[in-house]
Amino acid sequence: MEPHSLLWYYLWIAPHLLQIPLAIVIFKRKLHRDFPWFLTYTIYQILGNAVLLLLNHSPQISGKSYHVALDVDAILSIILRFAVIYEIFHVSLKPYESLQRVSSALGNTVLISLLLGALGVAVYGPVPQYTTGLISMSVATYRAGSMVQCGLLLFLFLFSYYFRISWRSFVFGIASGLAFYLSVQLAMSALLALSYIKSADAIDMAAYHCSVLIWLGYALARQRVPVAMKTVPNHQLESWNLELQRLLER
Amino acid sequence: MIITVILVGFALLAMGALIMAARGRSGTVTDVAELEGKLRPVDLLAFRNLVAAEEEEFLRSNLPAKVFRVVQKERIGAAVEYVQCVAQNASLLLRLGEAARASADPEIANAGRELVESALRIRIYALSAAMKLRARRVLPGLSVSPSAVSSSYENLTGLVSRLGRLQHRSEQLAAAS
Repeated sequence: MEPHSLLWYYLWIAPHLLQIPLAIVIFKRKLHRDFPWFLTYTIYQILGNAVLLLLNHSPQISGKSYHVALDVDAILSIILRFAVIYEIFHVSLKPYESLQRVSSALGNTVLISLLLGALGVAVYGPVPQYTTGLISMSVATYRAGSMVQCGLLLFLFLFSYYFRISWRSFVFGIASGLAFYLSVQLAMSALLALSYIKSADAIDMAAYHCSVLIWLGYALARQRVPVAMKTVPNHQLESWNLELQRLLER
Repeated sequence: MIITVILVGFALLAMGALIMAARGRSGTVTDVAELEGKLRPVDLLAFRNLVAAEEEEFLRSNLPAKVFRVVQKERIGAAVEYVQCVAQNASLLLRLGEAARASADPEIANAGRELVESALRIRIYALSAAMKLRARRVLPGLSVSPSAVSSSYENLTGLVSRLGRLQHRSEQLAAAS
């Protein structure tokens, strides 16, 4: 086991401890009905990191075995994040029938382009020369995963912005927390492929900590309910109608 | 090195989009009164005239080629502005539709749902129409049909009228009870 600072331990353990109340809030507020994959991801992060922490402190586990475990965790996390992103797309576009065909056609095109881009980066991109093959693989895996996922979230943000889609509080919280973490992870993994950055781990963990705080904040926040119109305000609509008719007749 | 710069730029872009989405979200209209007076004027007939093939042909045959190119560029620029106005109005009507579809009255809720769907369709058409018009600026031979945008917009205004009629009826019912 390598010696680490107190801050390093805090940044590793605290977000995963905070994910315990997050999972409880999700369950208590019945948010898991709409976000089963996000709850699965949250629980996986709690358990997975508990196991990694134990492995990190176990004298029987060699450095190589520990890095294999880290790579497996990275791959499982990436797979679960894809499921969470799919869930974000599904929940945020569900109320808009006319957008579903366009979003799925555009989304598939974006996904294929991003996968090709990630493949191109994997083949032609820089490979860290300062470390072992296993850590290089971790860097490349994180870089490819965060590139595709960041791109998908970027697409969703731009798509929603153009169509002025109303985000429900929690789905926006999940998307923004994930986008923040993935964009930091993408930048760090891209820079790490060039040269060693001493504080890279801490920055990555700090970003994850921020994301967990965002998720927890949005899970605790009151869900925004659209302002229901019991009656459509007459004076407004009439003036709108007049305005539109005048415009049409002009 | 270039790939690293591109990836860091991509990450910054995602962060920027996140901030933009958060700001857009905080600007969400929660009171229908906020929408009043925000509609931008749209003259559909003028728009149709701007993109009409016959009008273009008439100008082409009556103006010197150089003058025609300048005039046509200006006409297409104006048409793009009209499309953007329609799209902007559609986004405002979308908010009204969203508020209406949360109504307890099933008819108002239904009209709200239709309004939302129409407003979204307009934004889809507006996106493609604006792209086609811009392409036409570069490739003058390209033909563009404005009917999709203009008919959808007329349909949208019809839906707003329907919401108005429903309101009248719900008020009459409230007064009678």
